[in-house]
Amino acid sequence: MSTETLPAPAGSMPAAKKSIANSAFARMAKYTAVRVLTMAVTVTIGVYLTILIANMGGYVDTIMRNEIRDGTTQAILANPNFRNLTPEAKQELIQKKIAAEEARLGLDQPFAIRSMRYLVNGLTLNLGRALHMTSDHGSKEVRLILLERLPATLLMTGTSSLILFFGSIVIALSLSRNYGNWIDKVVIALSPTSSVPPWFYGIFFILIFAAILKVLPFGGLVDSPPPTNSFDYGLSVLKHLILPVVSVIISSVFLSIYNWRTFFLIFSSEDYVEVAKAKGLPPRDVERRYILRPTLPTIITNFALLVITLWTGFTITETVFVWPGLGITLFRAIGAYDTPVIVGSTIIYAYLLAITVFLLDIFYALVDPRVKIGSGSS
Amino acid sequence: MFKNRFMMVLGLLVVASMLLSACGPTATATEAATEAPVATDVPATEAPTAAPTEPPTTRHGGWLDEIDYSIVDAQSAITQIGAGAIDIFSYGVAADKLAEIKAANLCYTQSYGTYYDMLFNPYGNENHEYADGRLNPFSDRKIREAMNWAIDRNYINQEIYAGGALPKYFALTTQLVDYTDLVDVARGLEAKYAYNLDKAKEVVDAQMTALGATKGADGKWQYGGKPVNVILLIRNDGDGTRLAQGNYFATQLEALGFTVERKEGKSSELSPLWIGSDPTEGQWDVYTAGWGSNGLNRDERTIFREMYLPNSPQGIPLFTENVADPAFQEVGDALADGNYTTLEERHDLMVKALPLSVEDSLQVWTVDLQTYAPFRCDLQVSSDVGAGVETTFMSPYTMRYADQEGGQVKVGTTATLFTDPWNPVNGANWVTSAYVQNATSSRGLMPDPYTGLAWPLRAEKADLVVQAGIPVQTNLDWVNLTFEDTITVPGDAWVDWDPATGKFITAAEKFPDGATAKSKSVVYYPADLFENVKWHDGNNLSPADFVMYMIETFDYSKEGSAIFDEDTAGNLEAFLSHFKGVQILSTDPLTIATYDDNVYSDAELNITSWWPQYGYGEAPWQSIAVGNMAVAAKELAWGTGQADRFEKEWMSFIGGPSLEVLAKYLDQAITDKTIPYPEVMGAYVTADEAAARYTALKDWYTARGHFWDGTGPYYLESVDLNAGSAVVKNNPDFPDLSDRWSKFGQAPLAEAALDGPAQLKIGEAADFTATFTYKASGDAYPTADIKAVKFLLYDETGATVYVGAGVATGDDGVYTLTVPADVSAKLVAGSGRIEVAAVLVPVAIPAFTSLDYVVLP
Repeated sequence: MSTETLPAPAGSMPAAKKSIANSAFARMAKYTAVRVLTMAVTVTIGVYLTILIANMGGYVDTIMRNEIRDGTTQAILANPNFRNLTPEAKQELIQKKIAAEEARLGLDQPFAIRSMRYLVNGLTLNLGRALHMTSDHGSKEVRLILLERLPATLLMTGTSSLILFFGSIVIALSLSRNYGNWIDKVVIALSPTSSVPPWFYGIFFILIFAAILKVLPFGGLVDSPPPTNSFDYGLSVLKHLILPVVSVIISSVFLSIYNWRTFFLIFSSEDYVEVAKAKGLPPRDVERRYILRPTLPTIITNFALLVITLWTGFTITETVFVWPGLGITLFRAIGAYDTPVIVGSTIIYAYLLAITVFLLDIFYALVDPRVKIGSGSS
Repeated sequence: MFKNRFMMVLGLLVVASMLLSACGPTATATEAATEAPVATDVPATEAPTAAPTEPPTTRHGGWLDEIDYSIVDAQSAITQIGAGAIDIFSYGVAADKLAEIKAANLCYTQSYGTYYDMLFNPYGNENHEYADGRLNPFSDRKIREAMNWAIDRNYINQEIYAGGALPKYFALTTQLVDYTDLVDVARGLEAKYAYNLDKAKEVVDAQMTALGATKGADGKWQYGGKPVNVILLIRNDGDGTRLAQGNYFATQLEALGFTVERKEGKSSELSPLWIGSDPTEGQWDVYTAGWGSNGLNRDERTIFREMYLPNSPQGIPLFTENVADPAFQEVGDALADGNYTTLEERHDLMVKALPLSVEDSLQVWTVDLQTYAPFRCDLQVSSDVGAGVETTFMSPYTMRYADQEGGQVKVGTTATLFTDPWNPVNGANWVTSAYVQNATSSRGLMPDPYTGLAWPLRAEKADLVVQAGIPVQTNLDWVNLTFEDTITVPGDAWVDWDPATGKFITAAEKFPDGATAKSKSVVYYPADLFENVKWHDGNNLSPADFVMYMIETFDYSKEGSAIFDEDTAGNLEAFLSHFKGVQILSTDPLTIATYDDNVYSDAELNITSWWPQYGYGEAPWQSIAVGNMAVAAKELAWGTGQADRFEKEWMSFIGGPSLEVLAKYLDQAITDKTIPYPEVMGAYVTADEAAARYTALKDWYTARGHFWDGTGPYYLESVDLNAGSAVVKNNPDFPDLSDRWSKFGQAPLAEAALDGPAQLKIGEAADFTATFTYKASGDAYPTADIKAVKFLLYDETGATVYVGAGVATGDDGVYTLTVPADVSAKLVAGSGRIEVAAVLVPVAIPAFTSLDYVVLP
């Protein structure tokens, strides 16, 4: 498909250069178009599948109808203001309220139509209004429900993930140079501890540092009552951040170091690295130019994917630490069958993922000379 | 190599130790309670409290300087109190945590929570079959009744709830007001239906055979050549205990010869079956049902229709398919419709209904769950015995440290604190939100957390006139009750609202031929009400606050109104079906008369105070006016459904995008000196007074950052919605001294002791002595506070042989129980038991105890 191999007319070098430039642009444009189209289709299918799964193919309508009926009936029967109504009056009231609630939730429309509306709204980032949930500040806008949880999520998952990522790489690189020493062996020995999830460590840390030693809080975002000035407030948040962040880091750090250390070790034993060492290049240059450079695409890929996974938060860890993050929000949305919130969260993740993958394709070409966009051999 | 292996073993040991630790008990639960509470233990408030005889205080408002509410993890709440991170977990924990609370040496309140039962599909054609020909054994009332003998409620209580629940036999709340009134009947029935699997088997065998079923060689029932398969829907969500109950019941059914198909699932998975399916299809036979407690309900006479009868307002097909005993239907209808003229008649109907309900057994009850709110033992906490700390309006009024004024209490609660936005007209409906709001609020009447009655808070006294022939009684002396043959509604009473003209519709306009009502309550407020009671923003309470509340009651739900919310129209229709009119007789002092057709048997509960306590919070008229302006402009909505229709925000007075909109309309109101509903409100407020009100509200908003205003003993200092915390501070301008409600700091529960002969001789009279003391102090319980003492004699089979009444001896709390000679003459030799119950005046929970004896020939 490439036009690069076509023979250039004699005496037309500038034209040839232009042609090559044009062809490169066309190749790039075509590649971009195909990738965008592919990702658009993938995202659309992914989001629609999410809608179908979250609604059990429409069966959630039946569940919601029954729950509305039960909830409304019990609320009316429990309300002392209605206690002396006749059964007929109670029934009439119940039926009216059920009808109103079903209409509010859109259950008076077929699921197929609603599912398409969810899809179109999601794809156009018109996130709309939640069915049941409100934001902490009382808004029913899905956008606000998600956005107001974002700072706390980024603070916890971002801090822990970034420390974990960069810390692991730095330590792993060092270990790859000194593999087999006692630190390396300790890391290898402790790597199975990463099978334990962060919330599990969280419970331990809460018991030790909050319940017994009483030096750190049990959970939450900030002290109660919250400090009145911003500096103290910030310090209080940092104090509350320690245990969840440490839990996340401890739960993964040994395995992460082990993985990266093994990865770097493979590259460290390449012939060209040995040659570089034999030539007497300083270790820092060997690391930077002969080990890190070829591993950069992998590191970048991991980093990019890590950044977008911050969006999903750590559901159980947030729950254990009563941390007001997106993980809990999404968990609640799934439990409440709040489709707009589920779709909103999913579509943002899907777009972030698609854009990241697309940018990574281009980035690979920039950092790795072996990769060419649209050449069919990337 | 050795080092590598050593390191590997070390790593595995770390993981293994963590897993083992996780499987072990938590740090605070290392000392398991060795004594489970007796199944019949009465709910208690196990906390030391300041004696009400302390020297009087000069402090106004709440006892505390500050209360800090925050969302905490319920699982670690007890540990957090032990570590001093919080002082109380007000939401409460389930019964299975009681041992942990005791092990941590914490105090706790106890209240009713959810109640559970086995709910049966009652459908059956003339052959007791489903539409496809399968036999439904539970369409037979006798088999359903037999399930009472098949369920060991004490086992369920001890094994699943660690003894922290109450075994339940009736739809009536165990050991609350109506149960207490029927205590002799109830205890007799409980003895009759005590666990007896052999009896259950005997009945099931007889009935199944009569239905045409046969038992196979494997001991399993067969019908039409196929096993009788019982589909048991078992809920596995919520607190998880229904899973254990369901599996227990399945085992019992199997022991009776049924083949059981256990279908586990959460609410959403099972509701399409038990609620949504047609009972005739037989997609299920039994469901592990659970119902929410209604709090301290003093009048449960409608429960039989609601929980059993085919005309139940539940409206679920399974109820309509139940074929009730005509006698039960008649009694249930008479009670629900109030077809009786005296309280004695009502009592007699309840006496008839109770055994008939067990014979029907559409639902076989298992336990009344108890919820425990743990707290530090130097704290004093009032709690509604029916529904817990957070639903107790009085709780913030009485919360204090023992022997201390001031201080700070940290309250831990659940994530529902800010689940929905707070606005007084149709905002958050979560008890956790209401708990904070209660601290900032007053009311005309104060609910009594121990009896379910009411005391005057801001009101002073009341007259109640009831139509002759309707049974009503007074319990407290602040209500003057009289009866009249006819109660005429005056022509100028306000009975409805015209949103088009912005005026009330009078009785003369709506009922040109005149109207009557079944009751008239007249509430008198103190002469200094409008001088002494101030809103937190500094304004004095005024008659306009009352009138605005009256208007909002109608206008918000009236089609044609600028703020109409169709979701509440049904509520207003229901209200208008019994409301007959309101009349402001005087504004100095404020006196309000209300006419109504809804009459409760307790006089105190028939008093309508019209305090500006909207459905979801207290508010001054100007806050409502500003909110109405935003709603009328469709920029905000009072309710969630209205918000969806407007596609705007559900109004919040404490945060979010609403504040900016409200602030805008507040500025507009200040500029325009807006008098809302001028046709009516114009008589109660001038333009300058309105401007002053709005300006004070703006100052309040500027200082606090929210619009939440009230007249309660605390004011809302701040909220942190993201972090999930709220702070209220003492209101020194509150008119009452802090000790006004001190006597309610602790439930006046009683303990009973029984003394008497260990042997009864047939044909000879015998006397027993029952002594009642305060549970907390051990002091004698005043005889004046004991409404009645009843005792029951049981024979060795557990059957009731005699019910008698105790006679006061003259010493406080001491009664003589006499077994007459003619009664003992009917006894047979063997063992027996006497049980005594005292019905108390100041608390709805009775005191029980029993004593075993031997009957000699």
